[in-house]
Amino acid sequence: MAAGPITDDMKWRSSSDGYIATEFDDTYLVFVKASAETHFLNFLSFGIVTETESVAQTATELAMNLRRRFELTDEELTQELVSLTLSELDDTGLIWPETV
Amino acid sequence: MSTVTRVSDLSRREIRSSLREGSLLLHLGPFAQLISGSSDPLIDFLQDTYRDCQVELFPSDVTDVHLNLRAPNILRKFFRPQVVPDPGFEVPAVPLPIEMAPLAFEMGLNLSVALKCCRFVTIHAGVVADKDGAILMSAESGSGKSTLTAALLERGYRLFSDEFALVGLGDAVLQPYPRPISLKEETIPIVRELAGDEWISPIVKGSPKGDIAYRRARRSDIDQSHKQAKAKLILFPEFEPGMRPYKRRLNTAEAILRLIPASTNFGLLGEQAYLAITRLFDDAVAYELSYGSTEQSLSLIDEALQERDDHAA
Repeated sequence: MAAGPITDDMKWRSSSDGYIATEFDDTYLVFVKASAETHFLNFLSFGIVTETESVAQTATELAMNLRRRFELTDEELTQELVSLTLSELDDTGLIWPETV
Repeated sequence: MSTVTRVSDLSRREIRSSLREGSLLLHLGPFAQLISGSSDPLIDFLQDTYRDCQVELFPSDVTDVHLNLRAPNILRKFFRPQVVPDPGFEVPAVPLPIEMAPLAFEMGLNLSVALKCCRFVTIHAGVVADKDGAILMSAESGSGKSTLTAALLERGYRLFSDEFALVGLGDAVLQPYPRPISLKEETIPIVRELAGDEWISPIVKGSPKGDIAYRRARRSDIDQSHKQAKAKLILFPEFEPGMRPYKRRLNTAEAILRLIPASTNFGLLGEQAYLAITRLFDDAVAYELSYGSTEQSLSLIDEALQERDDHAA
């Protein structure tokens, strides 16, 4: 179940124990163990999943870290795109908001 | 004492008696299938279409499937007799006139394998193989899969199955399950022309799926049903009369995403099924094919195989 509206103070978390990922030419098939569903992710979506494994991050932190990692500008990777992708990933069960 | 023998070596009386007692065990591919429910149309069908298959009359081993072909109620056992396939779990089966017992038998086996098999990933697909590997054809019913499977047999391929790709868990090797090829309506004369009249069963007329006949599995395919194969080509064929031949190589991720919904037990097996389907592509490439005739489909497959070999070289 999705977390609802995404606010900037929400920190997102993932765990590699919860999925199996297979890379095909910079895209990823990701099998989610809990739902037994398979999703097709691009490098950005999968980047969000892997970024949030080690430390929970807000959408703003994620945008900054992903721009650095993939060498993208603010225009190429907007905050809105990151928030939208977070919302879609939340629906898959691959990431979830960390509760304090 | 139990002895394995071919259906053709049994008398009609022996088959009838064994079906009545529920002790006829059909060995085919990886499954032992216990059949009960005697009727003349079913005995005719077994003696004709399954004549080269191995059976036991008094089995002592465990079975994978127990299929009971029974009347839907006591009235329909005697008055205008009907039959339903009962695989031991709830299935939405419409009672059929007893003359259509072959159809109920095939449906019952299909349901048993599709819904209860846990040893393999089951994918709705036709599969044939030669010494270099297997061709898996995944398509909706009516897409020409059975005709294509039958046509490839005439080119020397072994029949693995017209209905199910059985993918081994772990190694993703394909397992033969050479049941007869189900032919509907206008495909019957096409396959009769390809295979020859002696390979086609009598037609079951007026079934819910229209006229149905079966292309028998060859004895050599049945006898080699222990010989597995790795996939070399994975196809998503689509036949439509008049369509221009077209072929498109699919990237592996797209092909996997198209195979997963065609699996009947993916949800049951989960992670193991995902890993097995992914491994199917270790040596295989995938194509989408559209065509308007059997000749065109065979040419497209030749091209796809050539491209695969060129790429490997």
